[in-house]
Amino acid sequence: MSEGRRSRSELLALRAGRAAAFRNEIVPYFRYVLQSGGLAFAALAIAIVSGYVRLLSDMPADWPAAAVGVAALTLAAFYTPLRTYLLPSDTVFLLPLERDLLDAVIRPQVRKAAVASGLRMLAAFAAFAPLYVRAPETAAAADARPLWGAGLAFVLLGAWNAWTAWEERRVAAVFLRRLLRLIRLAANAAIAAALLLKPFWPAAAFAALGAALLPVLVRLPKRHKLPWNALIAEEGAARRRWMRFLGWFVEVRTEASRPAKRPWAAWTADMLPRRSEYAWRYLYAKTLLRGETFGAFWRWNVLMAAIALFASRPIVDLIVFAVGVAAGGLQLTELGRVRFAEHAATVPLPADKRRTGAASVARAAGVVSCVWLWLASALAARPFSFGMWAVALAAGLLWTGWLLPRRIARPDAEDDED
Amino acid sequence: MTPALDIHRLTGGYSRRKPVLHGVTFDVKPGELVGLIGLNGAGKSTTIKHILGLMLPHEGEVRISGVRLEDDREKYRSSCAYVPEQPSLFPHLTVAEHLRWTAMAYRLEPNEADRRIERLAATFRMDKAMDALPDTLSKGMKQKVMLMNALLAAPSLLIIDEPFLGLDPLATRALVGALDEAKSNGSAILLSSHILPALERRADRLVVLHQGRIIATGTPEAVKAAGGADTLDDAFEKLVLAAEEGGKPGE
Repeated sequence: MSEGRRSRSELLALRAGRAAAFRNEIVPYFRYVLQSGGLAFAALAIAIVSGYVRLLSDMPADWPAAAVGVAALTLAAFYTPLRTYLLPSDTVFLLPLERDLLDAVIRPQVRKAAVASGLRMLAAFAAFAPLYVRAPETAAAADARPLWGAGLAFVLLGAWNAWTAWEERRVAAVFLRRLLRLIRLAANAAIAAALLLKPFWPAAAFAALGAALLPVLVRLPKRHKLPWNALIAEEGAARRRWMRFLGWFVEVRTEASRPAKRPWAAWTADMLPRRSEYAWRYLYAKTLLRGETFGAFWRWNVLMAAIALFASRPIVDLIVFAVGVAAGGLQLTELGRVRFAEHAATVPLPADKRRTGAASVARAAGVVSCVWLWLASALAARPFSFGMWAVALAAGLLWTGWLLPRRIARPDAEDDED
Repeated sequence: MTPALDIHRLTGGYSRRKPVLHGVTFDVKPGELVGLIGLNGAGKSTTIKHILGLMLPHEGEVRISGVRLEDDREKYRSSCAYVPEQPSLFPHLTVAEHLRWTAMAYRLEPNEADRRIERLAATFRMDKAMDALPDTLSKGMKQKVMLMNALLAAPSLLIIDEPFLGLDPLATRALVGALDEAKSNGSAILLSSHILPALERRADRLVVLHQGRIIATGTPEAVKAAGGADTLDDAFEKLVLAAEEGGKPGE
């Protein structure tokens, strides 16, 4: 066997081994996820399916099918994950095999990602198509085009996104990479809007033109042959997302993530008084607001509010509120697992107040989330039942304002070592 | 005068059966810079962990400004600040927020804290990096942030582990100036370093540790004399070899 062929087969085996190790690491946790989160997932699924079926059977005349369809299909097309299982140490040990890694592992993975993106778009379009046909706003547009043709165009759009996203990752300058992502997002929105709302064949030509122009644009800046750093960072983020998700339900080993600056949220911690008794709260607040948990937390709150507004049916809204507040609170328990640098153990702050600080920050975030979701769910529910929603609010505040902080403030084994 | 740091017959380490430190005794007086030197594994870091209260002595005691950790934990901790060899910053706090948090922890009055922060930022040429998160800073800049934090607190005892590693020449000069100023303001400094010529110039006294025991102590001149050498590097080598052979240097 030639040297090149052997190194390629070794690289393939390495990737397969890492993928299997990752699966073996996370699969055992699924049982616990189902035990503690099964009910919440079931409730969420029921809420979504129920809202969907109700829409199909009783489509409101003013339902914004065009906006919903463009937004959903744009986001589905834009989402282009690529698992490479690369590690930081690979820049030392695999760098000499860059060409083999690219040919034997990365390019086949990009092809698989393109197929997966196409299938994802097929599923997204299949879910949206019945609403598209029935909604008064889009019924005429749906009638005027072959649905199979639109479906095929969206499948191709998905595959094209996976390939263009790979070319984007290769761009060396971070700023240009972000700019190109933004342009791709805008292009997706324009193409999705054209394919859904404009005459089909001109729209298809527009989509083809856009799909041809963007790759030319992506090829203009200086590019890496293999974007090691971008792929390693993306792989790390994918791992952390999994661990964070599992961490909502069961104790898992958490991995350090790169903080986001997030000035639009981080300033709120500066409102705390500059006194010693607020020092732990300040540290926890900044840690929460700039951490990955908060990224997931605020997106979850926006998603739940959107689902509540979309469903606008009392029982469904109540389920969305309950699931939203319960799962949002579980996300905040991550604060109880935060471990600070050694520096924190050498300052004149009482160690026993550390968890109280974490609990206080979780309470503030939880209560804000509860009120936000209550407003989105209760105000959207028609008819509005004061008694039911007052009880729901009280239960939500009990969870976020008392039970959740108590759970976080409870000392654990590691605290005893402090 | 009460020593800023008083270590008396300290025996300690991770395991009671195999202690790292054996009856270590030395002190650091206010306004004094004491250098702690020794080979890798000599017990310098373990000594520092005992001083910080991150490890508890098996025997003996550690006092900072006359107070033991078990007597008054908060007073003990507020009397010292520590700069580790590896910068350990909070990843979610900017440079300015680190300093703000340290000021809160050490109960500094906000206006006074702001004045000191501004001065330290200028001294260490960090004015433009105050809003940066640690992951965007170089190792030297992170070390500067740790030093700024310690100097901001202005406690009676500063413990600095390998302060010169990773610092550029201007930052080294700024640190030396800041340490001189801290000394003249009455702060005691315990400085652990492998860079012996720097300690030879700066330290008032040296403590030479080997295998958890003090094998020499005194002014740099006294340590050189004890080692029978003209430079501290040579004296240190002779003292260590003699300790390993169980005799006196030169025998």
